[in-house]
Amino acid sequence: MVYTSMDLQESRPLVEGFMRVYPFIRVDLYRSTGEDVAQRVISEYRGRRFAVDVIEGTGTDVAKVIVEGIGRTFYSPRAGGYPRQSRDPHGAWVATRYNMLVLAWHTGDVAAAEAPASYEDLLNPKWKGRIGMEADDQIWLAALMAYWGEQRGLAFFRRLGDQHLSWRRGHTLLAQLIVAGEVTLSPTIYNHRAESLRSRGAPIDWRALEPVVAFPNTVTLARRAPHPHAAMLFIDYLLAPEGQQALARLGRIPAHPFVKADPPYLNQGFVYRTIDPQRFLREYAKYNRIWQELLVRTR
Amino acid sequence: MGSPAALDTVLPVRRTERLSGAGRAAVIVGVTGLVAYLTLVPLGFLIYGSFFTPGVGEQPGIFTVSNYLHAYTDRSSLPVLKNSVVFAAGTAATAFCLGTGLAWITERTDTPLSGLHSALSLVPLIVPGILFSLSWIFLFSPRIGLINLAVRRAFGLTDPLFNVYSLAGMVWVEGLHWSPLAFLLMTAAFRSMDPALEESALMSGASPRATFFRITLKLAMPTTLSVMLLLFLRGIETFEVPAIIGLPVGIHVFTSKIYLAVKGYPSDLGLAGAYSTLLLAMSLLGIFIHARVTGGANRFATVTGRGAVPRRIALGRWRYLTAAVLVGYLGLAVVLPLLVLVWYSLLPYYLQPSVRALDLLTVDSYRAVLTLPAVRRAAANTLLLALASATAVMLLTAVVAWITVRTRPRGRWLVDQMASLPVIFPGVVMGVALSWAYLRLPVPIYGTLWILLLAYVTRYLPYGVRASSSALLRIHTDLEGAAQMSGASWLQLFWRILFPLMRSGLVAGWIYVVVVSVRELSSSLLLWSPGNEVLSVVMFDLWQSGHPQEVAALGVLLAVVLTGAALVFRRVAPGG
Repeated sequence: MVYTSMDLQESRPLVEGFMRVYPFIRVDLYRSTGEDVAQRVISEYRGRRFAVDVIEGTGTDVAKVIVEGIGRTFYSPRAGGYPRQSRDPHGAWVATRYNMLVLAWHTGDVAAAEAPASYEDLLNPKWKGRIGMEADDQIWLAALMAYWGEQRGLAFFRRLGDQHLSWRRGHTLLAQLIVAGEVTLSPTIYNHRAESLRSRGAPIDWRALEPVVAFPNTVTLARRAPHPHAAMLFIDYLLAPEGQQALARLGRIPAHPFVKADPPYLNQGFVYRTIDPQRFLREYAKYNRIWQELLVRTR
Repeated sequence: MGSPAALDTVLPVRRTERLSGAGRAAVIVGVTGLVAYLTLVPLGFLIYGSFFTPGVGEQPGIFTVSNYLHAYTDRSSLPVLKNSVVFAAGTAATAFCLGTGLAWITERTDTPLSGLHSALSLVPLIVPGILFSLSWIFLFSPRIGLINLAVRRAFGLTDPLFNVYSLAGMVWVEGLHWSPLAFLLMTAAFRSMDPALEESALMSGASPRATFFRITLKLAMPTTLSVMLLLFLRGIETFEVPAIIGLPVGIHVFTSKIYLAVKGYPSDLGLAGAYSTLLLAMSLLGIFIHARVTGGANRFATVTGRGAVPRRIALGRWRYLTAAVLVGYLGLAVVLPLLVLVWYSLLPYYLQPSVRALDLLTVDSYRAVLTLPAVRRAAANTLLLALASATAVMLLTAVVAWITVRTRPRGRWLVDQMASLPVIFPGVVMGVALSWAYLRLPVPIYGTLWILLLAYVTRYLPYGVRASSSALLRIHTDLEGAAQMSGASWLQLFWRILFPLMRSGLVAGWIYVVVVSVRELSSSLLLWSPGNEVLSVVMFDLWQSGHPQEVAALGVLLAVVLTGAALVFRRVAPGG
């Protein structure tokens, strides 16, 4: 039994690939938002129902599960090749795929040469009122603050907040509104989404503002997994080149250092930074406060 | 006649009091118990949880009243609450006026095209909120709104005429979205109305307009109040329209506070619960007022022993005006957003209508949706759940209505209050409460369709109760008296007299519950399990994974299928 925040269309080929290798293992998928996956696992464990084997989802939500003592450390021979920022130093999780937040814009309104080339360019007064933001990307702020340091980060976000940001809830909605021309540009777009829209001919283009913030999606083994051996086989498959290539073919960005994304420039040619999800959770209150005060500015 | 028992019935005793017997008592106790169980379990969870801080890992939540202190003394809540109240009141007024006006036109006048309207009127309710809001952005946004662009081009204006991103825009979208609820319930009220008073008014020379305002509306008072109450509470509780249309311009509502509390880390369900108690207080107050005004059952009885079919008012030349109103409404609330959706679903990505866009039209998203195996399974599950929950809700609430309206035990209003409680639960909280409860209770329904059924029945009890009790308030007690005189048992009375008489109200409620069950998402997301997918979850999944065209395609299909079904159903169920 796998609980995941990966959507059905993408998880299906992955599961089918796994079952071709291990035809005797049946995989059941519960798919929901990252938060709901975490909520469900935590409720189930508190109610002493141990149904889940593998939990795959947004790094922060898997981290919630691990903080509750529901994840466990595991050893996968496949995890060895992963860079340090893609693995938990204690061995409780490994990253499976990344969501890269990049700048995307409506090509009808903005020429590529004119589009911001750095974070500082976003502060140009000509973008006032034209920047769309996803409403729950606190981790984006946290990763940039960690990279720039507190002082520079605060100064940047305060000035960004002066740009009359247009808040939208959900990355899908935001990307659609850029395509429609309702929102001119946004620095919080997943590049694989922008790429897939662009390849279909939609008037959208994207560019990496360095450092790009990468949200990790991670996998962990449930502490009381009813089928721990099958679960480990699944995790191994997911982290192995085969599983990672299956993800890449679906347009996702694999976490494996040697598996190329499709197209490869989705994760190559720019610097990206990620953040330790557990650390982010510990400091969530702080980052959320900065987010609400400097950017959202709820009165 | 002649037996002592029959003689007995002639005595001037309160007739309802006399329907005693083991069966009746069992039904009262049973239904009350069931309603209490359905609603108090999640409520208990909500209240209990609201006194604790969120527990993290080994560290358990600790007892606290800080959630309440925070929820009730946070000064930043005030403007937000004000927004919510204005938004909800505006929505209720808009939806009510539209729904009532349309119900009157289609039910009580000889306006042409009424049938067409009844058929299409459900559409705004069926289309998922996110799509409905999105299509209004495509229509009325100052930047890309089609209407704004068209008006600008036609009249050479420089400023956009409409701005959907405003409180007025939000009220408009939400009001249109809920107008079918008002329409459904008010139609039922107008349909089962004894025309005697209206006729006397007309005979005494009152104009149709005066008759409408001074007689028809007043007679429909119980339903009117019910509908207003429901719409207002919905407006307070709703989330989608404020999130999509209000957020970009910084119009925050009360539910965003609840959302932020749940969404944060650690997820603060306690604080969300404390916020919800404010909604609880509002809804209790509303129900109290409702009970006060509608007390004294027969005052509003319009279905009496005298058989009568409401007369349709001949409007003469005015009927072209009313027909124009119908067409105007259909055009605005149904056809326009639906066309935008169809357009959206036929393109690989959204484009303004143009010649270039015509070349790109494709039915790919429909093909994708129809070949997805999850969709078929989900459709079957959804159908089963929607029918079952609507039937269960209406059966239960018919009895609840009877208990509160017709019987005299002390504290009967409590049953009504209990059944109305779930209106205040944010869907997420309901989902968490139910999963929490059924992971502990020795009832093995966790991970099955049953827990979804339970969630739906609980969530939609309040709507059923309002529909049923207003239907019952319209029925004069003399009919029950007559049944009793002829020796009908309680069950017979219910089954053969009350049910048929309440039919139009019950059917309206039933259709409504079916539609909203199909849409239900926030509890379903947490409660479904592999094999038990429902359509709303699949649609959400498609949306999340960046396939909005497929979602639009499913939405269009759903609107077509459900509208067709409602049409057939109205034909088959006489009086429905």
